[in-house]
Amino acid sequence: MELDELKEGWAILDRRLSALEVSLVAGRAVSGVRSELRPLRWGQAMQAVLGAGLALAAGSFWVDNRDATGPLVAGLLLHAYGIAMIVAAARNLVLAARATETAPVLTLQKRVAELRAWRIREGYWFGVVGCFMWVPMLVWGFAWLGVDIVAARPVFMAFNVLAGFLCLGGFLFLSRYIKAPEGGSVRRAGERLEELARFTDGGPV
Amino acid sequence: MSDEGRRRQCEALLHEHRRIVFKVAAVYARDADDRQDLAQDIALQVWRSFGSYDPARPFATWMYRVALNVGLSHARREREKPAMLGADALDALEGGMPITEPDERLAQLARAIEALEPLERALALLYLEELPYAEIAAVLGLSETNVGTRIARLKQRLCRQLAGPAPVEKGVPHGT
Repeated sequence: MELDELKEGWAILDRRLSALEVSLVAGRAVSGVRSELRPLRWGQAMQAVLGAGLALAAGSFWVDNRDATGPLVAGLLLHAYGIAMIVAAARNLVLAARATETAPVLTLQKRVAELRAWRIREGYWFGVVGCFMWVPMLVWGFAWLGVDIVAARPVFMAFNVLAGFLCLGGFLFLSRYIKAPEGGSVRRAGERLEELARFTDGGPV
Repeated sequence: MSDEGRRRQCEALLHEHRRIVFKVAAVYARDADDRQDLAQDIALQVWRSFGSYDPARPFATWMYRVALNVGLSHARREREKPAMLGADALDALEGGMPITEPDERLAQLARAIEALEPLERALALLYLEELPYAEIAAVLGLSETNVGTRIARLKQRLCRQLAGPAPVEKGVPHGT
């Protein structure tokens, strides 16, 4: 009987809503409306372009410096970083493209949760690698000035690498203790995926 | 069909099925202002996605998908748990008829829905709309059998809620 009362309540809501004369204007620009994924798509397209530029420039750099170990390694690292930027952006774009509002509800929610989980992991790894990427950038910059900084100032470069490790320590500390919301985001994304799996499998939500 | 014709067709269908929009907004929005924004968000998304609508399929099923997806995205963005549209909140909507007498059945419905998680709210809405299982399955992306299982469990849960603080549950393990 109680469920019938709920249905009666729903019918009342239905009747009252049908009396509403609120206009829903299709295609009208509504202030405050934003697509969650549009900025992501633009950002990722930009990242892919920048990654391609970096991969091309760094590729050309290490090919021209095959006889100098320092610039060669720096060029290869930057080349790999550029490619990683392209791959990450492409994966984001593919995941975002699959997330359309017309998909079945659970399908879309799962895709969005997967995208979110991937973005968080991707951000973490780019943060880790980013702590060291300025070292090959430095090598590259000096090479443009005609100086093989690794050969000329090895101690200076060793300090830079050490500084990279300090940066990494700081990043990991911030990730773990200060930026709790980030860790929370990872957990929430995981929980959402688990919740969706339970719902789909028919288990308790 | 011309763009203008398509726009008119979309607006006509949207108007015809506007109660779906309002109900989803009622289930997922935080307050009156939020409800209006969410209803317009849904309408806008319907318009944007209308190009992918296949006229050979039922518009209502397609619209439930879009509306619930927008509602769930909205719920995900909002930290605060949304409150169900209560009896006293309808007149806060532009054009709403004034409500003078609160209805206990509506209030009870609001309390029951508020206790559900966002995905369960979607299922509850489709169940209360009395959609066939096949249609619910198409909207949610579940099998019909799974829909049946989920609805049976939802009913049990709603019954327990409506009955008030339940005695210690015996015999029926959760998830069977």
